[in-house]
Amino acid sequence: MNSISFYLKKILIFLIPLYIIVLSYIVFDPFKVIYSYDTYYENNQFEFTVINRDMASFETFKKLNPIVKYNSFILGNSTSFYYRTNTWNKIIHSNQSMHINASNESLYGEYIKLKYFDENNIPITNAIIILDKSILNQVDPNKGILFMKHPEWNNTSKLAFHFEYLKAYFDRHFFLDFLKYKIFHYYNNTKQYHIWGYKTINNELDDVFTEQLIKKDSLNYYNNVKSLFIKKDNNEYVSTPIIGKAQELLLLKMANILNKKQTNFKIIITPHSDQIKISKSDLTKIEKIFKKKNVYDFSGKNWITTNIQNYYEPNHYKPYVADSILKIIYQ
Amino acid sequence: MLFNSLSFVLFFIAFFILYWKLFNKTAKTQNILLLFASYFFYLESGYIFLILLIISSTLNYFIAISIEKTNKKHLKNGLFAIGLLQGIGLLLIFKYNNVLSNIFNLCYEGISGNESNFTLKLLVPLGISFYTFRTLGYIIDVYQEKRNACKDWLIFFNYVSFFPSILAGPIDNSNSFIPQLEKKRVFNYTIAVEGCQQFLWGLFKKIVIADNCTPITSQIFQNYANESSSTLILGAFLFTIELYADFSGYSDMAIGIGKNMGLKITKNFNYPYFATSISDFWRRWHISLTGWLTEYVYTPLTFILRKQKKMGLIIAILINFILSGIWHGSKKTYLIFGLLHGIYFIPSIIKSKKTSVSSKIVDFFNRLLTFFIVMLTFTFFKCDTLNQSITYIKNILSPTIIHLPQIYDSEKFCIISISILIMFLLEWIHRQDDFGFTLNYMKNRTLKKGMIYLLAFIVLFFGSYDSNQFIYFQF
Repeated sequence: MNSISFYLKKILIFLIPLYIIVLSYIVFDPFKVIYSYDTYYENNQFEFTVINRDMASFETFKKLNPIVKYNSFILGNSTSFYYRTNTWNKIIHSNQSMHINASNESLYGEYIKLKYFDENNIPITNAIIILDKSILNQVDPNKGILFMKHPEWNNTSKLAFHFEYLKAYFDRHFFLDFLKYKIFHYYNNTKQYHIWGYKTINNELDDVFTEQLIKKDSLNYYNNVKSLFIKKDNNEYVSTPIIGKAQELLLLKMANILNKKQTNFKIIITPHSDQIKISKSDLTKIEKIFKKKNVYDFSGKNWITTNIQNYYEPNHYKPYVADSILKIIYQ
Repeated sequence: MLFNSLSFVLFFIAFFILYWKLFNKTAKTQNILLLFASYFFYLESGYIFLILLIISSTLNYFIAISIEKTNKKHLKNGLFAIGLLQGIGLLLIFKYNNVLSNIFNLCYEGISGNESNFTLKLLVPLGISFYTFRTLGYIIDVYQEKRNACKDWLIFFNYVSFFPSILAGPIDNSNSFIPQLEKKRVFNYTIAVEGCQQFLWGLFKKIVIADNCTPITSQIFQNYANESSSTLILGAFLFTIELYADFSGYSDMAIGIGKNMGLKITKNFNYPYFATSISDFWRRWHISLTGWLTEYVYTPLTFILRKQKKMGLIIAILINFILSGIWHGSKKTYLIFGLLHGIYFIPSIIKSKKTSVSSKIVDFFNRLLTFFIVMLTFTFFKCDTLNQSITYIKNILSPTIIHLPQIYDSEKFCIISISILIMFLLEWIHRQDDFGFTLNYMKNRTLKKGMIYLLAFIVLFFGSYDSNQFIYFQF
């Protein structure tokens, strides 16, 4: 009996270095997943770690909803980041709107958010739902620390969620860089850190970093990013159909919730710089599920997608483009 | 539940404390907890499969007792046939259902003249090959009166479902494992510490070597048609290492866990890549399966074919290796893998006495040659189709052999290279020991502790944490 106690004691002592590392993780909370923060983005300052946008959206919602009582939501992937709630608020005559989007959002993610609102009696008076190839292609929970869903959206394991971040902390590159940053305030200049402008109450991001680069020398900026855009010819390209049974089921469930909650919603098929049009069969299915009057297709060749200056880079269009889209869909 | 997952760590900590602190009164109490833990562990693969495991255990338990009890020979034979059929039937239904479908379609077309496209697609229960081989071996032993039927259902059910080895072996023989379950396990500090070291060694092989190799080998084997010869050789080499590190890593972890439970699990690998011939390789690779096949297939076959002398031995060895290949599944490439090893084995049968002089240099070249042969056969093992494997090998024999291999991730490649060197170096030093990280020769405790910390550090910061399944789980 004694030898077991001795053995356990030895193992506990042996693991002391591990406790120290885990303790440093708990103290520093590098991914901002352990503690609740007033704000998840350092306004106009360098961010050392990239925050899981979905987690930030949920935590911000949870913290501020008792005060603001949100009723209008923007759902989508990072292409939806630059829709201005100021512009939208004026159109929908509300000041209770927020971005509830996520990086690399999935159809599954959009559905569980609506489901969460429905199950928790959160009103959804207005909603903008972004759809594109990437969103439609993903019908399962996202993986990876930047894209994982907050466990409270769908009552998944909190332990598994936190363990993923702890594992990421042990990534040798991250761990050493983070320690250097924390102890010596040193960061590796060759790495791309970002500067965000952030409006907490609407969970709204501004790409300050890129805006600064464009402001400094827009010609040079676009010359540098030009190669990232796919070269186009005069042909019109159409995507292969994506919506299968799994997608259709999730879209139907989303439509049911929106109809049940009598939401004034708009579905936006996002304007991608690749100029590939959504397939006719997919569009017909979406229009059938959400009603034609609520669906706005901006994919393919049009005034937005043919001008690279409407984009920061191939995937993200600028706030003024989002403003124009809002004006069109609420005409 | 993967051994390298958080859920397993939590599960095992809870189990360990309960096992040694609360349920350690008698062998029975220990076995009650062990069975509960094994079923809980297996439940993650699906409750239907757990039910199947319980049914299989129950059937085998009663069949063995009935075989032992009856004095009538034909009844004994009948029960034995049922015992064999249910085990082989399980494997046929779940692992070889595509073969069954093809046979059915051929028969149907032959009889009716109409085309038939019947397909039977079933999920393969995890560990079915491993626990079925345990029960088959047990039934054969009872029938041949090599052992008594186990009367205690708790012990027998534990033998079949023992959680450290149910998913990927080793396939413990009932004669060595059941007696251990009959006695109360007593905690042994030295063995438990050794178990921890062995677990850590297995973890190193699995997550630092095998899991870091996986993305590289997958990429090369997927793009085999466009890769240079040197890249294909690199792919084949890394897969050979990956398979060993993955499978022997699992076995080391299982044995390490067993040592912490006071149970001795059969050794499954004995440094196979240091083998000097193919016959030597098979004495060192997947020892428990080779031992099983030798005892229950090869030896009876050689007896049946004894009149054919050497030809009988050759036939027996070919059948034995083909079975060893198709044990992995119904892909034709597994059959070819087995057949090739059978063919490579033949010279050792023909050459009854060792004629060559053994020296360090000769041994070194024999080791290299054996490794190279094994590496080529493992390309069949890895490829999905026969065509793919033949093209893969054909593409190796091309002028691009002089090109530098394509290295997709140089940092990962560097980690893998150093880790492989560490593994082979430590295994060479410890080749007379149970596993590659025994450190028994180290008298300086601080140095020993330092080595363990160093390995733990490598595992923590250089391991791949993508939760890759163990390769042998699919078998």
